[in-house]
Amino acid sequence: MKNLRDFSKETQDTLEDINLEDLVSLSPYLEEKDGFKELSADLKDKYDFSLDGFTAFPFPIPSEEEKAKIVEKFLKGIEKLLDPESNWTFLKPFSLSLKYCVKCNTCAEACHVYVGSGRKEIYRPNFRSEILRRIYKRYFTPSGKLLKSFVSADIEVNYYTIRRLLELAYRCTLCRRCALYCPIGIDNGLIARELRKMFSQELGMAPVEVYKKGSRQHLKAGSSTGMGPEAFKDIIKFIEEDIHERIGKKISIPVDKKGAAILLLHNGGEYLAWPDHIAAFAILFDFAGINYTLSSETLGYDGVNYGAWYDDVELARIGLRHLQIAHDLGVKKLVIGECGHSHKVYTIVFDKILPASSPLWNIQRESCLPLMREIVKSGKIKFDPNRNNFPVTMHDSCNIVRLMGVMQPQRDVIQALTPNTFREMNPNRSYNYCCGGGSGFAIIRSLNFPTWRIKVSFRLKTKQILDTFSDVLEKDIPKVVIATCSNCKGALRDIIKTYDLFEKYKITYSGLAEFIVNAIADIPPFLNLDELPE
Amino acid sequence: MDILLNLFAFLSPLLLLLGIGIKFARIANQPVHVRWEIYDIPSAKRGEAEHAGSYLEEIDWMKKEPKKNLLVEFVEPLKEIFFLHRVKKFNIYGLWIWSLFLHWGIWLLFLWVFLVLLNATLYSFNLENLIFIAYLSYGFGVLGSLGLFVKRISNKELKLYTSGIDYVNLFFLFLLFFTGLLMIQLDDYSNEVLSYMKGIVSFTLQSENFSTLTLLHFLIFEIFLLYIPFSKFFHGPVKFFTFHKILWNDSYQKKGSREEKKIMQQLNYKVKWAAPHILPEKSWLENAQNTNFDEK
Repeated sequence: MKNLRDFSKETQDTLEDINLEDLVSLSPYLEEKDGFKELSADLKDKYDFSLDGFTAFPFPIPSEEEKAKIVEKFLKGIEKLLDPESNWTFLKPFSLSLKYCVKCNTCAEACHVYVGSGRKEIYRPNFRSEILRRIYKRYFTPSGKLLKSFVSADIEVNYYTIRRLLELAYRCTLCRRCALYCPIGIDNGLIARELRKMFSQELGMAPVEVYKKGSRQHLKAGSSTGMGPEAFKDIIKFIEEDIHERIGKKISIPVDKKGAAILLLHNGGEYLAWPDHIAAFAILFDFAGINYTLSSETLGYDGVNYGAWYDDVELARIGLRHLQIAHDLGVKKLVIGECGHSHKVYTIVFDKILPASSPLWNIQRESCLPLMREIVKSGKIKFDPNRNNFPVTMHDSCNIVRLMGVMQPQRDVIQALTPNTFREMNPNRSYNYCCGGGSGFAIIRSLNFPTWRIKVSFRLKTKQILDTFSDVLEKDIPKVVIATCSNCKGALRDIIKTYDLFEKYKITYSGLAEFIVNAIADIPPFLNLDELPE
Repeated sequence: MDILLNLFAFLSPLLLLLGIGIKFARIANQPVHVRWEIYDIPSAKRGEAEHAGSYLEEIDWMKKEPKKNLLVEFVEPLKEIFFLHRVKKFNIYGLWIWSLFLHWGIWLLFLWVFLVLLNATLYSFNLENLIFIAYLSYGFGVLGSLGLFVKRISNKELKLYTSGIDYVNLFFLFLLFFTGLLMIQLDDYSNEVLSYMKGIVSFTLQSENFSTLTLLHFLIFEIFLLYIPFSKFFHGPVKFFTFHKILWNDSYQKKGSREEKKIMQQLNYKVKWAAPHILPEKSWLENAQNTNFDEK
């Protein structure tokens, strides 16, 4: 790209082409022969692919009149992002990030999408921020209006600018690794999130899976999976029966138990995709004598909060209901299950969405990971670490590690329950790479976005997993990647399936709870390393 | 003319402080924002641990007083201020050494000016013995500003993000240091800078007593002071907020605090967004409590 002004080109031609040859190589582990499919003429006519040849939005191309309205709304949206009342939630970090970047581009190498893509300019963490900065300067500052391109106020807002920027807001997983690299503390990840928010809250534009089938469905039906309270209760019964069959002991999973100390909030997707995970928690908590409950209230059994990725109003609505349910049950604590964004929402974000005197704020909001460490170290359960005698590594969830600072409990657990077979990925902890499925990417399935996600967004994590196990890749050695986040687990599942890592190298994945239960000495092994979960 | 010279010289540092103060107050008075940290948090570092996690690694954190090492929190940024360690570690465009030169040029310039002021007012000493500070400052500054200029114009990736005003800023800094470097080549530079400083504090500057070079150098320096709060040069002071108040906050809300009162007020702000799922003209609290999920 010769000039950032090209971003506003009024054409359906792509700004950047993504080719397999340019991407970070997965050799010598994998030989990729398939390139990217050519788009059909019909699709090209119907939808906009003008950023990079991919789209997550099945939005038809609007009429000229509609385009003019979109431009008008977009500019109003930017104004609202900088208005203290409209954006009190993020005004300070957003405005500082918008105004004080010195464009040293130190952030570039932090980004798994930028690096994984072969360093395509449009994926540089600072690229989308710089487009927004230039628009802001041009339309909202006196110096920009007067001096234009001299002060880089040179991006013209037209429909194409907006459409590409919408797409570009969904080429960042909001992992915020770039913010860790920035010498000034500029947060380009936040700028991507605020762009998403502006598109959602002003223009009503968000991926179908995140809004309509996501937070809207969550609020209406009770779960983003569409699972209603009755279906939830049926699944609980099924899981109880399954536990009985597997371990020979009847365990009753407490639901709506008044007086319980803890409300355990799982990611709703686990009930359908990985019921073993729910079972593992039930076994672990039962063996440890934890006084907890699940909730069958609408929303009370699905702890996701997609608003965290794109919309403050939806975020507040869902979060408030979760806290209200916990309050109505009379629990002292809300313990968040293995779901990364849910961890961040309830422990970090909700700390300052409600006043500290509110009864809802005073429900202690905690991660399940310190509790798991406590259980493992308490001596209440007899563990046999030799049950986990296989190479095991851990994928750190960005939300839990970098954005929330919970790094050690999960490591203490794994180290206590393996006979020295744990190995760290490199980099790890707060410097980890995103799985590539963060901020909704793992669930967005519209048009050809999944191809982009698999080939580009998952790329560095795929390479990292293979690098971590490079000395034990033999097929007869099972290898496990542990993830403490449902979204990350979904990404790992897709990586392993897409690249046949289970068939080729016997690499599989697990949640932490399943891994712990696998080491309980008094019951049969819980993990089945001969089959891929789900 | 001399009155203007005196006024400008006298007011520029005061206006710098005022400008920084106003900017700080404006930023500080923005609404209480949602927490948005990035870990590791320096103040949470304990012992030899390589990584520093959050208080959220503990069970029942709400019942415990978080342990914070504030000294570490304020020592950690020195690594960035004096060594630009993130730029060194992560920047792949070779900006570190030039940026380090430029930043040290500025730090030493402030030290040099402070020493001259000290000499001119409270404590007299032989300035000649400390001339190496001025040489280092001006030398580093010239190298740094030139180096960054060349880097930005010659590297196609950096060039894409660099605008006219960025080049002007670098050229301006080059002029500041270059005129300083020329000034200290003057035979009587020591007396000149001392007289200039004495003239500022006693409001008796007379342009005829100074060489053009000295006047030019100090004029550029005074413009630089004035320019800091209104330009990208403010990226230094702003780190107080980006790091200490946002990325390294790691503190939970306290009951009865000023912050809590502000959050209560903010929940009553009207939501002005226009998308179909937003209730117009209702407050944030009313929107959050809304149980009618059909779009308007």
